[in-house]
Amino acid sequence: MSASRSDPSPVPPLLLVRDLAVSYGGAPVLQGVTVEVDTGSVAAVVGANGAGKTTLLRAISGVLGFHRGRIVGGSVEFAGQVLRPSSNGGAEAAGRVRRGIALVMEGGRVFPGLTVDENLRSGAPGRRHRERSDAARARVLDLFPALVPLGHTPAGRLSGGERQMLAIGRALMSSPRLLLLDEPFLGLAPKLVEQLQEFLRTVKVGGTAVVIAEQSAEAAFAVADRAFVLAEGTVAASGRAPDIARRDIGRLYLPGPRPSSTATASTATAADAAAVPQERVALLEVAGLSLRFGPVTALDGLTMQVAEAEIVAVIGPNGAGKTSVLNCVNQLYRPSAGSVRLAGTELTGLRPWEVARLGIARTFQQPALVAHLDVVGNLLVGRHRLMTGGLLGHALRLRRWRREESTHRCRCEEIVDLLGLGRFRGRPAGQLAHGIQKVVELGRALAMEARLILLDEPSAGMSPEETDQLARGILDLRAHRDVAVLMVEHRVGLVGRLADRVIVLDHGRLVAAGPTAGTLADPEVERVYLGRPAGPQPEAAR
Amino acid sequence: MTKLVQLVFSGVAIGALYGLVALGFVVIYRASHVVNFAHGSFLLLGTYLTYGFHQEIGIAFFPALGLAALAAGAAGLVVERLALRRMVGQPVFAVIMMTIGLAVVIDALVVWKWGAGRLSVGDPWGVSAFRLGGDAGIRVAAVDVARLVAAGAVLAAYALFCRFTALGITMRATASDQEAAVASGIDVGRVHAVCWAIAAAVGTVAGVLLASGPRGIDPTLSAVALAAFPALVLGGVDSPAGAVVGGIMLGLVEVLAAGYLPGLLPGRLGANVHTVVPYLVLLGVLLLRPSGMFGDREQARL
Repeated sequence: MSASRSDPSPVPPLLLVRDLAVSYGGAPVLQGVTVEVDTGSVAAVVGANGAGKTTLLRAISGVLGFHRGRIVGGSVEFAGQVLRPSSNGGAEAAGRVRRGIALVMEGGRVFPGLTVDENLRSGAPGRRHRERSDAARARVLDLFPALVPLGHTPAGRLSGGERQMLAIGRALMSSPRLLLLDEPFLGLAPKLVEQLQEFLRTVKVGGTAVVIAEQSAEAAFAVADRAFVLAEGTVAASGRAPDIARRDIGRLYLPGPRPSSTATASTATAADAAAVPQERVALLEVAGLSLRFGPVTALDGLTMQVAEAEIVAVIGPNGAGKTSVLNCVNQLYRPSAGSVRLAGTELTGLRPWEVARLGIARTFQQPALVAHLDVVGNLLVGRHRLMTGGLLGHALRLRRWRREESTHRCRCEEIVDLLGLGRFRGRPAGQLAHGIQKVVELGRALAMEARLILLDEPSAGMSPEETDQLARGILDLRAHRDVAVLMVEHRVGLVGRLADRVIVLDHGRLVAAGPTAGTLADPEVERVYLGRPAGPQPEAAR
Repeated sequence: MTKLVQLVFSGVAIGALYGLVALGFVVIYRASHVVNFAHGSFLLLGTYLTYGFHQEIGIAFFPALGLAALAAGAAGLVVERLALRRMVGQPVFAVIMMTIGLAVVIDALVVWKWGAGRLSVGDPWGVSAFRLGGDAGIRVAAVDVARLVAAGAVLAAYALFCRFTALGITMRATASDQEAAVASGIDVGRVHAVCWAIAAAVGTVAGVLLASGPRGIDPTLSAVALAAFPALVLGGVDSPAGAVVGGIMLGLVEVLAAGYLPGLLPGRLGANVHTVVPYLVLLGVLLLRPSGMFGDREQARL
């Protein structure tokens, strides 16, 4: 009798999202979404941009109110209790952190004015327990040793990857039972992606549940137990992660082909290889470029060139100075030494807008669009340098200016179609999902009809389909318009497909350079950047 | 030369006070992006409370000031909790209108309790002054010394608080990114309440120091908050350091203009021009740096 009494009731999942429906100001974004996550497991939520991944995480963590979002149906249960949405603008999320739900928002949202240490401290609730927060901090620094020497550095000075580490570290300070990660692998070098994956396997064993919303499903599937595929606000498929990865829907998320050529570049002549091949004309010439922030050297005597209609990729570990190269080219940063020339014109000392006028367009790691303008409006902004009519002419809407404007609009509509943005044409840019914003940014750069486009991690936050579309757009553009591209990119697949030459940076210095295929296969590059033991790579599954 | 030194000293002293008043705006603005038009009224309330505790009840001046700062801080806390907290998520404009309403209510309550006449706050230094360097030396008003010391102490305390205490760090985190702060488990409502309390307490100290010396208290004291407005804009509405520097600049310009311009310009123009000069400086600074000298120029790493 005593033996049969304890009828084992099934353990409820740690997180149960039941039939959830969410809308932003009346526009439905999620409908009937059901997701279960057990203690000590990792769930991947994948799907294209705009599918509602971020919204799902917002609803679970309670920050929906910050985006004027509202739960209109269903419920979110955590540890057997229904989480009640309170009314005061999203502030309930703080209470949920104390109950053990921590959210890492996309794009490394740190407090830029606070130091790294202060950022971490701000993530530790129950601040009276000093020892506990010190222990949590030690664990975080153990996980991300790169943050150790940066304790007193303002977070605003960190590179994109370092910020991402800090944002994750800050969330871990509360020792969460449920960790929500929005695009955690975005902007991380392959080596760090592997470290983070390893860490997720460890916390999982410790009993923490993890939900990863990711575009790059390969990285998420590598650690996930279960996967949920979102499409247009509903769960299109769910199941064991390996099963999902194998099915049709998973095919879209597998990595692109790796370059197959194995020609080896000699690192000894990296400096020579950073110059354009002799038969081509250099469009961009960077010579002896150095950039220092106080004691920190971001770039150290970098010399490189980009030829006309050439696509050059800059790769390297996080904090290597990749974005700084772009920032120095368009003069957002003032280089400490060295010169940057575009077709013989010295750019150092010019203002960023003057550089743009000379024909250099760029996109950013974090999209920088005019939030309230629609997609076409944002593209028109890019054509500003091409417009001839003065303020008065446009204000009076003289016939000539009207004709000019319609020409510009036509060109923008072409770009909208080229990039497949038609669906979003009239939406304010600020409302679009991260990945879509990045495509719009590329569109703006195209609209400028620049001679050189600087792309900062163009594929970050994009699904493989969208990346594919982007890649085709870039190649098309080069084929038809002789545009040169200088890009910072982590996805080796995309680099291999697009770039003619690769430049590898580490600690602000040139490590290697040369034709793409050979350079990526270079054992030294593999070690510094890819974090794999040197040797032949198995061909990735298609 | 003696005149110049005297003017600079009292200019810096009054300027430090302007900075203190501006700090009250900055603290609330940084946390919630609300320009608190009721700040002058909290300052008025705190000053009258000091008068009440000291002159009416008979508590010694400094303890009375401390009590009044605490009481005004508590009033700030209550107002935030009862009125402002419910406005979270509403348009900022509506919230600002609400602070204007609050100002009217608080001013009316003060007049109802203490009347509109001029009272003495009963400060120990009054109108006393001393000379440095003999009879021909520099004349220093005791009230100016008190103003400098008090403003310096309060500003230093605030800076240390922000830098080293856990609550200070959460305040800065909230100022920087509210959503990320909430997602990090920071109770933003509590941070806002603390900011209102700090602003009201700091305002009390500023109000008492303004009313001490020759001026005395009357309900027009709340208008001083408006006089500190140029300091706020000069320094940048979201920068505590800017508030102090802006305040000192404003005080110096005002006092120097009042000291020298009447002799240089004819008649009525000379007699009144010093009230205009701070605004001329303000216009100049805004033309050159629209977000103030220390304001956050939307800094973002790209």
